[in-house]
Amino acid sequence: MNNRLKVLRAELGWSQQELAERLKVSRQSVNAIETGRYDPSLPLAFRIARVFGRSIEQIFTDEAASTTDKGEGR
Amino acid sequence: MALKLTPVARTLVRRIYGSMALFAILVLSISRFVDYHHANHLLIWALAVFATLPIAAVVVSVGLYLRSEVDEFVRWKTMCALLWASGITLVITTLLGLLESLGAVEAIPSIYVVVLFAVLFGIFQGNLLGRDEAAE
Repeated sequence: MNNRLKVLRAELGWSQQELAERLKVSRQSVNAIETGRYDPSLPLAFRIARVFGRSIEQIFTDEAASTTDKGEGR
Repeated sequence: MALKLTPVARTLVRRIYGSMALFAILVLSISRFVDYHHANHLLIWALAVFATLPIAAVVVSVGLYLRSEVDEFVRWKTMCALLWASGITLVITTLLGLLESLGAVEAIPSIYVVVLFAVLFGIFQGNLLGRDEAAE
């Protein structure tokens, strides 16, 4: 699963620590999600979406689904 | 950068250190007592069960920790370390048990299983922390 966490965070000028505090998780969690080493649970994904004021789909993209969509579009 | 433990993880570490220290003290004291006094079978059983209580306390502490850790990534890493430590401990003890039953090795006191598990858990926790630091 890909995500735009790093880009959105940079747009708001937040550090990983600041985002972690807003999400009530550790900074290492934010880093792991940003670098794709960990996919958050649905409740945490909703929390992330709420913090950025966006929908989950605007932050997280499913690589497999987008590949399937492209294949079906041919 | 040094990784900080979450508040519940700090509590868990304190409980584990305390329980393991108590376990070591009890095992040493009971061994000494049994060596120097003529204890009957029932008393030895009672003392051994008593000495094992800190290990049960560690298991309960880990269970409480997993229930109260709000950081799911940290919880997931702890679960991974526990699973790896449990798996490797099972493999090693099964191998040693088989070798022992085949007469290839001397009997190894099973009290060391808890030490093996604790060491492996520490190694895997450290490995996961190190992997995080390396990724940053």
